[in-house]
Amino acid sequence: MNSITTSSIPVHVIGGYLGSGKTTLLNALLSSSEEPIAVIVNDFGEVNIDAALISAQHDDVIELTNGCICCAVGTSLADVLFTILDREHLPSLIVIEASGVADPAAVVAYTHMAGLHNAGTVVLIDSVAAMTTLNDIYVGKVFVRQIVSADLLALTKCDIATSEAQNDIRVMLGTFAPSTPIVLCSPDVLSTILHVSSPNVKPDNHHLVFTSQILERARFVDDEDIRATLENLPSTVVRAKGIVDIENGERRLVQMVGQHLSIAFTPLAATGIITISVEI
Amino acid sequence: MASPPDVIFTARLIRTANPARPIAHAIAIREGRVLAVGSLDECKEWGIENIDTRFADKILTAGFVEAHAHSMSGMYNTIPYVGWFGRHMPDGTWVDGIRSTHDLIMRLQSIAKSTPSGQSIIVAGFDPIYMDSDRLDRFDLDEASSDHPIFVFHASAHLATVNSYLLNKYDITSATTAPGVGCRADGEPSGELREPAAMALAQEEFRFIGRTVTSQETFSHFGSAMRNAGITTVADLGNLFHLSEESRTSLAQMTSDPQFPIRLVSTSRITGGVKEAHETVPKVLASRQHEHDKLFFPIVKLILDGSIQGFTAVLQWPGYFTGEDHGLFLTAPEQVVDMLRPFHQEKIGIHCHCNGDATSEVFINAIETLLAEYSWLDHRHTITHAQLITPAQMRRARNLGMVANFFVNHMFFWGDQHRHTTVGPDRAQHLNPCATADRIGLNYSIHTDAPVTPPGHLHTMWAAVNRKTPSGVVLGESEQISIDRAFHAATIDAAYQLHLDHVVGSLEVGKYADMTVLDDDPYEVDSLAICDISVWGTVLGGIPQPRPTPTS
Repeated sequence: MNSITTSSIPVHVIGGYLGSGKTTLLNALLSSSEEPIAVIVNDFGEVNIDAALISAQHDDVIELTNGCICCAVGTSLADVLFTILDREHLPSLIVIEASGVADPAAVVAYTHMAGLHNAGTVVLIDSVAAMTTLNDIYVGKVFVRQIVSADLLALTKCDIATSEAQNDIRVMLGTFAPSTPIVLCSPDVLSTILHVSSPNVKPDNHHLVFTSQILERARFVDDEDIRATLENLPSTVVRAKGIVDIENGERRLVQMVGQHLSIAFTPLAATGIITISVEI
Repeated sequence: MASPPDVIFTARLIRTANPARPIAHAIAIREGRVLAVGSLDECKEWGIENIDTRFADKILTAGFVEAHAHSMSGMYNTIPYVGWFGRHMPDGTWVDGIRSTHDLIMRLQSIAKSTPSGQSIIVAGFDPIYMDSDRLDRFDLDEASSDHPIFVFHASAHLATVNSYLLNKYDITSATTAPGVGCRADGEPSGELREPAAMALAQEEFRFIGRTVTSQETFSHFGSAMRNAGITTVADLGNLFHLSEESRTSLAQMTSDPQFPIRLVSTSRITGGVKEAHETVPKVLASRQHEHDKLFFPIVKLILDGSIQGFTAVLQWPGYFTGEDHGLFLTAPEQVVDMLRPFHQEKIGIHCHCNGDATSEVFINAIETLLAEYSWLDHRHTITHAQLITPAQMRRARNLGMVANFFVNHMFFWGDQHRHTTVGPDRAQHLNPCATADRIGLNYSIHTDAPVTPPGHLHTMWAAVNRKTPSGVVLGESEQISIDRAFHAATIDAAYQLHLDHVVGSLEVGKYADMTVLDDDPYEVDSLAICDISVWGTVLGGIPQPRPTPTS
C-alpha cells in the first residue's frame, strides 16, 4: 500500500445490483451526515432528499443545507471528481455509487487520483433476489464481480427473505469471497455504520445488532503499529474509523471497512477510533 | 435575409441517390433547395440564366450524411493530430500521417522546439495498430523531449502513452498500485496509462483534453472537419447540450452562423437511470424549440455496451475467441424498457450503441415490448455499431421497423485484430453484415464514429465494398456490397434513420440542395481506389463550401 503522506479525501465505493438498497443508503448518508460529504450517484432522479434540506440545485449538483453535496456521474466520473477537488471547501468524505451493472473495482480505480484515497468498498446484496440475479444470463457475471470486489458485504431485505434463503446466499457469497465479512442490515443501519455514529438499532429478529465502542489506544508509534493493532481486532469488528496521533507528531485518519484498512495523513485533530462490531 | 439568386450548376456527372433518377448533368437551385435535377436543357426550362460551371469537371453527389460521429472530431485544431492517415485540418492545412514511432518522435520534437520548457505537450489520434515497431513507451517519448511532460492520447480514447518527465511529475512509479498503469518486466511504469482512471492520474493533461473536447472552438471546427471530409449532414451522437437552456441557445446560435458548414443532428445521450430518462424527455422537447435548417433534434442515444476490441462488448455464446471477457452492459437490461419508454412515447427516435450480439438482443427485445405498448409505427429506432448482429436478430429488427448503422470501418481499423484475437476467423467474416441485411431486407447506414475512425464516407464505402484488412485479408466476401448500395447507405439511408430523409440524403425537388463535390466518380474508379478520391468540398443549401486551401 502506498503511504498516503499528504492530506487526501477518503472515498467509499458503494456497489450492488438494482434494488439492493444503494439509493436508500446514499439518501441516508446524505441526510444524516454530520460532516460535509460528497455523494456521487448514477441516477440523479432517484435521489430523494427532503426538499427542506436542499439549499441549491444546479444541473448536476445538489447542495444541501448541511454542507453536503450530491453530484451526478454524467458521462465522466473523472470530471466529477476533478470538480469536487477544485472546490473551495473540500468534503471530508466522498461516496461514489457504482451503477447496478458496474464492476465496483473499475470505480475504485479512480481513487488513485491525487487528493483521494480508497477507504473501502461496500457491496449491497438483495437477499430476496440474489440467487436469481446470479443465474441471470446477462448480469450473472457482473454480479459475481460485484461480490468479489467487496471489502464488506451487506445483505439487505432480511426482513423479507426466509432464513433458509439467507443461508443459501451466505454460502454462495462464501464461495466467491471467502474472507469477506457479511453483515445483515438495512441500508439505514448501514448508513450509521459507515458514518460511525452510534447505530441506534432496535434489535429485531431479522437484522444483526451492532455495538459501537471506543478503542482504548489513541496514540500509536507509526503506520505499522496502527495496522497491526487494527488487523488484530476480533473478526466481529466490521467497521472502524477515527483520527489518532502518531509519534512523529502527525495524525492519521484510520478507516476500516470489512477487510479494507486505509491509513492516511490528516491535518485534523485526533478523535480516537470508534469500532463497530456485530453482536453474536 | 435575401436568398442568393437562382442558379444551375453543371457537372461532369451528378449522382442523386434517387433510384428513380440516379444520374443527372445539371441541378437547378432556388432558395437553397433543389428546383430541378436532370439535363441542362430541362433545368433551363425554369427560365434560369445564371449557369455556374465551376463544377463542370467534378462529380457531384447527393451530400453525404453521417449518422454517427462526435463533435470532438473538431479537437484536432487545438490538439495536434498524430494519427495514421494524413488528413486536412479544419483550417485546410494538410498533416501527414504518423506511420512509425520515429515519425511520432520527429513530430513531437518539432512541437517541443516551440513549447516553453516544462509546459505539457499533448497530442491525439495516435494509432499504432499497423506499426511494425515495438509498442510505444516512455523511452521513445523521452527521445522527443526530456524537458516537457508529453501525453499522447490514442485514437481509441482508452489509452495514453506518456514520457518519464510526466511520470515523475505525478509521482507514478513502480510503487504505484493504480490499475491501468502499464508496467515493464522490471516493474517500472512503461508509460502506458490504460482507461480513464489511469489517464486521470495525468491530471492536468487529461483535464485539458476533457475541456478541449467540449469547447466552443472544437465544436466550430467539428463543422469544418466534416465539410472537409465531404459530409453535409452529421449526427453528433451523444452530447449533453440539452441540459440547460443556456447551452441549447448557444448551440442554436453557433449552428445558424453562415460559417458553420454542416447541418447538425444534435443528439442527447441518455445517462443515469429511469428517473433521469423521464427528466431528459422534456429537455429534448425544449431543444426542438430551437430547431432551424441546420439544427435538428430527432433522436437520442443510449450506450448499452463497450467495444469488441476492448473486450467490453457483451457477446453471446461462445464469447470471445481469446483474451478475457470484460463484457459489461452500461445499463441493466431489465431497465432498458423503462428508460426508453418515455422517449418512444414522445416520438423521439432512439439510437442504441450495441457492439455485441447479446446487446443487440436486449435492445431489440426492448423495442418489441415498447411497440406493443405504444404503436409509433414509423419509429426507425437504430441499432448503431451493430457489429455482431445475427441474421435472426436482423429478421426481428426488420419486422419491428428497426434499422442498423454498421461500423464498417472496423474491418480495416481492427479487422486483423478481430480475426486473430477478438472473435476469430469465422465471425470476423460476418462483422457488420451489410449483404445479409440486404438479403433479409433490413435497412442500414454506415458510419465512421469520427474521430474514432477518420471522418468521411469515401472510406466507409470503400470498407463496405472491399471489406479488406491492412494485412490484405478480405473479411467475408459474401458480405461485400456494391458501390451503388454503399453510396445509398452513406446518403439517403443515413438520412432515413435520422428522420430527415424528406429534406436531405438525395437530390430531389424540394429537398435541400446539399451536395458533395468529388474529383472522381466512386462508381467508376477501381473499387480499391474509392477511398483515395479527393474531396473538393461540399455545397450546402446551394452555397459552395470549398475545403480551405491554406495560403502559406
